[in-house]
Order: sequence, then C-alpha cells, then structure tokens
Amino acid sequence: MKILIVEDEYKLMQSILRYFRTEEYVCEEASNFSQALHKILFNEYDCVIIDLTLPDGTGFDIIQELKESKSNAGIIIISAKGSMEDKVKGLNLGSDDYIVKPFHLSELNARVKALYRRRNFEGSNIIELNEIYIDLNANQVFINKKKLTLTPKEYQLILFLISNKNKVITRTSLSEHLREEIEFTTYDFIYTHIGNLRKKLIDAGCTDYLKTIYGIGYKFEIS
Amino acid sequence: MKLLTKTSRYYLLFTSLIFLACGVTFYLILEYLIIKKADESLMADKALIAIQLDETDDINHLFLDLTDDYHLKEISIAKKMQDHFTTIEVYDNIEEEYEPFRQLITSITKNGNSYELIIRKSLMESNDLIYSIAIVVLIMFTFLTVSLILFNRSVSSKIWYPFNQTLEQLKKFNVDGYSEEKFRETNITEFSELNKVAKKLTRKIKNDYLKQKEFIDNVTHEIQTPLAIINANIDTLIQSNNLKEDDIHIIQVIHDTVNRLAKINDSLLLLSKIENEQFPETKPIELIQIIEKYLSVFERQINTKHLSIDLDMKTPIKITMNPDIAEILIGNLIQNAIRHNVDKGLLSIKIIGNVLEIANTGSHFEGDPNNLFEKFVKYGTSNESSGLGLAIVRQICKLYHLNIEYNIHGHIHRIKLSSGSLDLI
Repeated sequence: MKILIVEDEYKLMQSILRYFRTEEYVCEEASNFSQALHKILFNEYDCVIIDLTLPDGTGFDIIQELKESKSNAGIIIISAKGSMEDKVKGLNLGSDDYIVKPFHLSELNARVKALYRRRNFEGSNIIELNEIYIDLNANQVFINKKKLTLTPKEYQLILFLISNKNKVITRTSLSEHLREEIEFTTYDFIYTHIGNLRKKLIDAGCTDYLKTIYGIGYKFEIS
Repeated sequence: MKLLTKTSRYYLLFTSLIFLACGVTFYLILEYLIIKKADESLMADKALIAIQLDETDDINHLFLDLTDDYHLKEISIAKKMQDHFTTIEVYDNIEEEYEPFRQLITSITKNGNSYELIIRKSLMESNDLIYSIAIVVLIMFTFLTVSLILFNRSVSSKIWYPFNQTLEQLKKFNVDGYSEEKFRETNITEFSELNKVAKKLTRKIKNDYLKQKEFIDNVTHEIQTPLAIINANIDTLIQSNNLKEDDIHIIQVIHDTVNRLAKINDSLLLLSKIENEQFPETKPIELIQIIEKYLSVFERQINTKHLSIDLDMKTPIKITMNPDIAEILIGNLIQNAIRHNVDKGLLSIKIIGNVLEIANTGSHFEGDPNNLFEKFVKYGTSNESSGLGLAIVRQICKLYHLNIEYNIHGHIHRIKLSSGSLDLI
C-alpha cells in the first residue's frame, strides 16, 4: 500500500514513518503544500494522510486537488483543531476519516488499515490470521471455524489489536479507541474488556496471543 | 408590569386627583353663588316688607307677594340689629325630614316702631341643582378617562411596535448566526437610536466571539501538536525490544504525565467551549438513562472499591440541555462520587421532585466545600483528577440556570442539583 503523509512537523513525521516501517506500507512524505501538490500530481496513492495546517496552504486545498484529479486515494485528515466545523468541512470535501491531535500511532495505523480494507475489499472483506477468521462485512469472528460471540466493544478491540499486531499498544490508546465521542478520563474499563476478550478467545481454543507488557499495555503477538 | 399598564395607572391617578380638586372648587364656587343669590333675594324681601310697613301699621295684615316664610314682631326700639344671615336646617312636617334654609334676622324701624324680621328661603332646589351638576361632571369624567385610556392603548401599540420588533430580534439573537442582525427602520428617534446601538452591540459581540473562538483554536493547535509529537515518539520507543525494566518505568511515567497534560488541555478547552456556549442544540434530556449509563461505565471502579449503591429514581427528571453536555455533567458527578469514595463506601443517587441528589462517603474536608467548584482546586491527593471536573460542572449549571450545592456533613459528601425554576434548596 502506498501512502503519502503530509505533515509539516518534522518530528511527528519521523515517528509516523518509523512506526509504519514494520507495516507493509510504502510511505512518502511531504512537509508542505507545494511538495504535497507536486507528489499527488505525479503519483497514485492508496491513502493520503493530511495535516490541515501547513506553512504554505491548508490541507483542505489538497483534498480539493485530489478530488478534482479524480484520485482514488483514501484521505485521512490530521487536525489539531478539534472543532466541529473543520470536521464537517473535511468530510464534506470528501475525506474518509478525521483524527485529532494528540493521537496515538496505533490509532492512526488502525484507521489507515480500516480505510484500506473499506476501499479495496468490496464484497469479500476478510481477515485471516492462523485460527482467527474475521468477516468484516458481517462483523463476525470465527475461531477454528467456530463462531465467537463478542460484544461490540470486544469486536472493536480485537480489530484494533490485529491492526496493530506485533506492536506494543498502550492502555491509553486502547481505551481512547474504544471510548465514545465525549466521555470521561477513565481508562480503567479497558481491563474489563481486555479480560473478557482474552477469556472468550482462550475458551474458544485460540492461542493466547495477547501479551501484557507490564506497566505499559499489550502486544498481540502473532506470526 | 407592562409599560402601558404602568402609565395608565399613573394617568388614572393623576386625572382622578385633578378631577377631585376641580370638583371641590366647582362645588365651593357654586355654593357661594347660590348663597349670595339667596342673600340678595332675602334683602329684596326685606325691602319689600319695609315698603309695606310704610303703608300700614297693622303688621298682621301686610299684603305681601312673597314665596318665602317671614316672621315680623314688634320689639323695643333699643333692640335694633344688624342684618344677620345664617344657614339652618328646619324640620319639614310634610316631608318628614330636615331641609336647608337661608335665614335673615334683621330689624326694621318704621314710624317710630321697631320690628324684628326673620325671613327664611328654602335652599332645597339649589341643592338639587348641585347634585345634578355633580352627576353630570362624574359621567363626563368617567367617559373622558375611559376614552383616553382606550385611545392611549391603541396609540401606544402603534408607537411601541418598532420597539417590540427590536426586542423580538434581540431575543432571537444567536451569537453563532452568520447573518447580521437586521432591525426594522423607524422614524421615532429614540427607537432608531436603540436599533443603531443594538446593531453595534450585536456586531461587536459576534466579533469578540469569533476572536475568542479563533484564540481557542490556536491554543489547541499550539498545545496539541507538541503533545502529538511526544505521544508518537513514546509509541515508537516502546516498540523497541531492548528496553530495560527501569527504562519502561521511566517511559510509563512520561506517558502518564503526557496523558494528564492532554486531559487538562482537553478539559480546559471543553470549559472554554461551554463558557462560550458552543453547544447550541438543546432538547429535553431524561437524566435517569444517563445516570444508569454511567453507573455501568464505572462498574469496574464501583466493584473495585466495593461500593454499595443506593438508587431512588422513581420520578423521571428532565432538563432541557445539550445531550453531550448532559453526559459530561452526570458523568463528572458520578465519577467524582466514585473517585473520592472510600473502600466499602456508599454511593446514593436520589431524585426527589425536581432535585437530583448524589451523595457519597468520603474523607473529611475542612473549609467551604463550594471552593471545590473553583478551577484546579483539588481535595485529596488523587493524581487522576485534573482539578477541572467540578469547574466544568459549575459552568454547565450556570449555562442552563441550574442550582448546584455542595454539602459535607462529617464523611458524607452531598451534591444537590435542581432546575432553575425551583427555589434554592
């Protein structure tokens, strides 16, 4: 998958690139508006991650340019402005997702993958990892071909873990992924969900891939 | 009280006073004239009697064409008197009531004889006249007042029309609205000036609001980006396979601290958004559902602390507010009641009439609990708390005119929330 990242903060860009290195992505970078414009005119991308505030223009203009050139790239907006107007404007212009700073890289990664799946597997949208089989259209999980009944939160959780497989994920990023639009600064409920999910997986005969990283979070270790 | 009612009242009071004063004056003048007329008439009678006395000596056989009663008797010459007028009441045997009379007592000297003369003239007819006039005046007064009030009413609804229009426009004023407020043109100087001022003010308010919003957006941007960089680097760092346990501990501290900072930033932004009333959509919200939702969200903490829950929510309680804000309000209150609770403590949520009461066991607190509503005032040593939760709660209450009160009795902390239409609890 070919991704263009448009971000003017050099340090943030480097972190994103390093995090994405282990994924099957081909990443390109643009640190300003004109660079980004140049790249989208001469290349095809599967996904473009765009920061709204750039030194020589706004991310909205890049989205418009992408839409005018009939690009098929999925668009994820990164914004430091959590304002509703920006979100609505971005989505109206044709972006697919919107993520507010400060975000976790695991969250960004999960969004990129979700977007990629939505765009490329129309019809048969399936994840298969060893004994785990997920039908994304039906929102169903099968272990060794047997159906596993999960709550919506547990389903969200397993998708997030698999999207970030073999990576250490912080508790905070997990709970932020699960929480609703406006909610509370409690991250404790994540233990309950993780505990329940792990128990269900083991009971269904699944290998315990979920490792607890003491003091930090979890890692879904699967080869 | 409406302006029209107020002016009408003053108007009525004023005209009544004027009419009373006029009526009294009119009556006094009329009475004076009638008495003067009666006196003149009595003097004329006296002159007539004096002429008759010239012609005859027999006082019992005077030929007089008088309608008034008179009484004539001979007195000794020394008792000569001045003319003396009085008003008296005389009992009338036929009508069986006292009637007013004007009486002249005087003396006449004729042909060396002195006579005492008493003449009485009935004032009955004159009184009837005054009475009739009074009735007419009263009718006129009533008619005049009523018609003036009606006239005033119709005129003032016309005159105040532009004012009411402006008022309606201001009531509908929405700081978020993009269009400029339009006020109807009027040729009344005062209202035209009011419109000008209102236009200027609304424009300024909108302008300030926009500036503040921009400022908030900028602050977010400036703080969120560095936070994002720290977060991203922590996320990258923890992927490393050769971290020692000490390193992990340090990373954890950095991670938690950044999180706390992000939370404080979020809360501050939320607070200023509420302060700027950036949650315009409102609808009636059923609080019980939200309470139940958050009791399940915080189930784990409740179980960890072994809290016993006492719910008494039979009557539904509805508050018109923004749905997101309602969640923040209730969520914050319940979170606080759990976070500051003691092990095996109590959490009680009651709805009594229009009052929502959330009580919990907690530690002893010295001083005024209402200080806890201030920003960054914390009690206890909890690091979880941003110190902004209750400030947000208070701001929400202020926005929706809710009364909130924090009481501490011993170890029981109690927050009472009631809708603004109620009296203070």
